[in-house]
Amino acid sequence: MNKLLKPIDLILIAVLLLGGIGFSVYTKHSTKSATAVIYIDGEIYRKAELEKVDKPYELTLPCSPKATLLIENGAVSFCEADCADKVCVSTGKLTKRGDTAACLPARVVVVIENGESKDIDVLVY
Amino acid sequence: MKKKGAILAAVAVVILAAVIVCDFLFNKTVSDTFLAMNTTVSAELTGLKSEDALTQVKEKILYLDEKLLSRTNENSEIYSVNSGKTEVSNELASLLNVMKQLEKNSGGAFCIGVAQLTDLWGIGTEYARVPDEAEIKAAIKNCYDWQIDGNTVYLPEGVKLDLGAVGKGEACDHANSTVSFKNCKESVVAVGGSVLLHSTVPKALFKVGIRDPLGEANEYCAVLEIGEACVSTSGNYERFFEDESGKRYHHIFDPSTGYPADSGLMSVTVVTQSGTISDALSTACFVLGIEKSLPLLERYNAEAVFITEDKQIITTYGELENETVTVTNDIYTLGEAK
Repeated sequence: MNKLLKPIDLILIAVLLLGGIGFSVYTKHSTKSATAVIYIDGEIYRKAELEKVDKPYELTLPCSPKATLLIENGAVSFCEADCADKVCVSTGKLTKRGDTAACLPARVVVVIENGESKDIDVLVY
Repeated sequence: MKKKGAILAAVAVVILAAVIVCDFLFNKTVSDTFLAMNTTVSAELTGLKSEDALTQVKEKILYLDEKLLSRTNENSEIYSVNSGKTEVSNELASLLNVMKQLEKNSGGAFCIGVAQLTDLWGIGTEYARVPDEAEIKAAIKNCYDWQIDGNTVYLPEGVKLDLGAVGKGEACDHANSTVSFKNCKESVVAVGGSVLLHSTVPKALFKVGIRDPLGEANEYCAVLEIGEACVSTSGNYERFFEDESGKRYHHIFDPSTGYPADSGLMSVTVVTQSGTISDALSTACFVLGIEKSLPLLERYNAEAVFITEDKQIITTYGELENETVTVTNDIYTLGEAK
């Protein structure tokens, strides 16, 4: 009988290995559900998993000028802001991975992490 | 025999494990989104030293903004120049020389001596208004007459410099040196409307969406498939205000008239190997219009995609093998610049 490795060990190694490969493939290709990450002044203020939103709600952020987000199932948008240009409000709804909206005067950035990706690598505007 | 088999199996396992670990390390992707240069910066870098590179890219962009180019930050060099300082660093001097060259080559469509004009209109601020003719004339007076000689800057009275039209592109160039030095495999750094696309994979292609000028901010109307490059867009939808009668005034001024440029375009996207150049050219071409832009683009070996007010997407990309422009919103028609 082999002293170094028993057949059971080999099976165990094979299982672990397959599991490992499976896991790394899974983490690379899995699309975790879309999460809105809200930054205020460079710090993460809150994360919201957009698939889990049952009822749309408004979230007023502790920033100045005041800004309010509308968080819905699968989407997030700035719905109101006290800034002068309202660029953040006109950005519209963010739904896909990498979608970004910012209110510069309030130093707020909202980015979608994970979720379905866009068909492009980057947007120029 | 059995023992030999077991050792072989163990070796195979170790090699496989090493491959997985290496693949994980070398393809490590990190990303960050932050505010700088009055816009949003998003960076996504892949490579063994991607984390390190990301920190440096961020530091460099913040440094450029706060210490060199910002017109409002009291600690920046441009702020000091606008307040009377005449001796500048080598870094700023070399940038100002490039700017002077661009002003000449664009026939004055590009000009950085117009900070007073930007302030006068105040577009994007709560003080936005249509100034009267005399105010505008005074604001553009002598705007081309600033000089750079060695490390000495000369500003005529009333003229102040604004590097807002190239700062984002300059940031892309700095990001480019960092990711190249750190040997990143693939990098996409978007500083507002200026983007760096970098890859060590030969013939890698990136898909760049061009914002739909008539759609919402995250919508695109064309996709540009290109290799490593810097891409910049200037559009009339980015910052604007409407007067009482509903007339729209955007933020890209024709320095020769002092009014928002009116060349029949909604946006221009320029592709070159330098971010500073593509950023400056996108502004210049927006002011010049398609026809007058072509010689300038050729001079800098740049390609462009124009979106006109009558919904045409006109490109300088001809029948190239790889690089293509695809229209994705059928209210637009595709044409080639002659």
